Amino acid sequence: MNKAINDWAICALILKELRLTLRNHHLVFLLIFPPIVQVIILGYCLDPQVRNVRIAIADLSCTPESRALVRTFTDNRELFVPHLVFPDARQVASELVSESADAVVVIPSTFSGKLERFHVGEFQVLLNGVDAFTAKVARGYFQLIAAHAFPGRHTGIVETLVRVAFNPGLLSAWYFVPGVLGAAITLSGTLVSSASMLRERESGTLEQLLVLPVTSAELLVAKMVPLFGLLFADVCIAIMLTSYLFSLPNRGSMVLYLFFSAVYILVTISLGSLMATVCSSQRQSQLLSFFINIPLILLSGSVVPLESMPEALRVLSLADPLRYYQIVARDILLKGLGPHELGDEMLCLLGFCVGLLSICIVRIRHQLS
Amino acid sequence: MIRGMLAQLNKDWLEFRRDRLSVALAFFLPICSLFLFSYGIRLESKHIPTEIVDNDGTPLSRDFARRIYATAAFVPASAQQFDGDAKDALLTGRARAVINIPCGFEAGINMNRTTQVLFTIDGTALTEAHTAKMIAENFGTVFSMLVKPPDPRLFYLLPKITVWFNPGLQEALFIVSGAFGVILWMFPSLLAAVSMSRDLEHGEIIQPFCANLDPAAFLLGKVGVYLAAGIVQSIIIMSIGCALFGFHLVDSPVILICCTIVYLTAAVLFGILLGVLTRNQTAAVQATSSGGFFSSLLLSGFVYPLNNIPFPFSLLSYVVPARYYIDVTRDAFMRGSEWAMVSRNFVPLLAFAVLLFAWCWWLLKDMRMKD
Repeated sequence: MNKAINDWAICALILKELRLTLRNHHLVFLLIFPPIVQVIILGYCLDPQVRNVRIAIADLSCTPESRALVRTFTDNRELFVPHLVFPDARQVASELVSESADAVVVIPSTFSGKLERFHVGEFQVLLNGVDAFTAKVARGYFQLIAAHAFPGRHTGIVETLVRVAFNPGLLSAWYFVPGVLGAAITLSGTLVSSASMLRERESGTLEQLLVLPVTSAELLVAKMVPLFGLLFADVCIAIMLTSYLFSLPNRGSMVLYLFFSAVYILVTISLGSLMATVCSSQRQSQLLSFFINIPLILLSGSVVPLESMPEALRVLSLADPLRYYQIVARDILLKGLGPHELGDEMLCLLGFCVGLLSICIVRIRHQLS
Repeated sequence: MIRGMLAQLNKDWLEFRRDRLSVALAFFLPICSLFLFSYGIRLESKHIPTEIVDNDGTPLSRDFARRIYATAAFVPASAQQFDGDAKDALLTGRARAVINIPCGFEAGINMNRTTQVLFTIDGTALTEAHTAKMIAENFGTVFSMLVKPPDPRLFYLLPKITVWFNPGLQEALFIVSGAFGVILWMFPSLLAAVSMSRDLEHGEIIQPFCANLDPAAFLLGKVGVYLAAGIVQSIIIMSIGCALFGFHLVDSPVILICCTIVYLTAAVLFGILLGVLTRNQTAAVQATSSGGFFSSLLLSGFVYPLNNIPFPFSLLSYVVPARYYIDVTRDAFMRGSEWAMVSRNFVPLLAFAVLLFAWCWWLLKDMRMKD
């Protein structure tokens, strides 16, 4: 009899939470719409590859050799956007100062003469060093272009052949989509779950829940079900859309990917609920969620590369559940790895899930008593 | 109107000050974010775990391997000699690049024959793959020049490369000056959004309107408090940024100060607007994080270049105010700035502030009860 009452109370509680969530159209919209839009927009927009470097050229030599050199830059449309060819060096340098160009090439009037007499053609490159990464890559390409400008210079000594595995075209969307989706789920999951707990407390309805024949674990489950459903729908829609829009490959098991996504959604909701137990108002929880979410997103490697972070931060990122989720997502979708290869990540994510849920239940029980 | 504005300012100030934890977080969070952005975001990859399969085993092939590791871009993934499968090493994540030196490498070089070295790079680590690809493409030429001195009868070109504004090519300068823009958009707008949405959620908005407070006075009062908080935040994070990374203003601070005030005003008004539109604290913060945090972090040119964004998505970055302010901070701390140049950033920032004020005023005006 008691068990039947208990089951009925949990169902009623889940139903109440479901109705409350679905009635809040703003919330449903914000849970479903922004993550999907973010994934699509950022999938198109984020691209760390150095290309479209605007170059301004001053050819003071105006000889067939200098024009051949200018052509090597203007023909490379993938890397360079030739801005203009200027008649004098001072004018072309001002392009760099006014930020109209990222690099300036000055071919001196002595270029052809020196090339003829000493077999060495010198030219000057001025680089805008503000964006240090772009400047370094551009510097490398200028050296490469100079080395290959005159065919026959290096008569077949060592050639490097580069092959890129798993993402042969180095498509940025394939890299960013799984990570951005994880980041968007983190933001939505933690924010909404903490707010839904605190709203009960602020409006005084938490006390009413005390009279229900449910345990703190069941109360937490009832709170989690609607949010979990909406966020899981989010993941399904986003992954279907991005597979179509970006031809994102699915080389592994989709079931495994969705399983990991479900575990990660539980982690984010548990984290949000835990935040709610340490805050006394929604305002505090919103600020605290930013305090936690920004490091979670940045240290995970989902939007900025994890590999180039300093060692100390990489060690710190071991405590970040999003790190494991983004590794798992990329490994399943791009590398086609299965559960055997992803055992460590699976253990870590399940550990986070169980650990956070347990702490959360203990704290809620303590608060309710 | 001025009395009304001061009363609103006083009310919001008291409310802000009363919540000690929120005040602490409002100033502590930007500092933590600055540390995280400044030390955590780098695009240049170093120490890529690499396995070299040396099928030649000659002094020259070992020299090739040694010189590859000397670039600092690649490091040995394991201490042992690797003789496994490249794909397997990449699949398991043990290495992110595998270099295959073919049999007959040294003999080929000695006979002036083309010798190909295969670099297989893991494409799932995108920025690392780009760096590895660029270095790999260059390395063949560099190594060729080392083992076979150039033939003096052939022509060659020598680019003399000079770097302006950041001669040491320190990525930290680029990231830290950009981080100011992201942080100063995120936190003032978050505080304002929470405050405005709470007024609406708790029905407190009725009180100023019952007191016949003009919507403009209400707005100015609210903006005043959070603008002041934003100014304090900007002083703190810029001082810490300069102290930690040893950079300083290249020019007079007047341009930076003017642009910062206009930018912070726009950020606060953006938060207020989201608060008015959502009328719910959670939804307001959710909207601030989606519309403010992600856009200023990823669509402002803070980390990734804007000129790679394809049309029509490239238009989106023009409505991200952080794009203009980051340009201002990079001018102020790295390039140096003049009003003539800054106007192309100052004018859009001012336009954002005016537009957001007008939009908020319009929405609040409609909320007032008719006489």
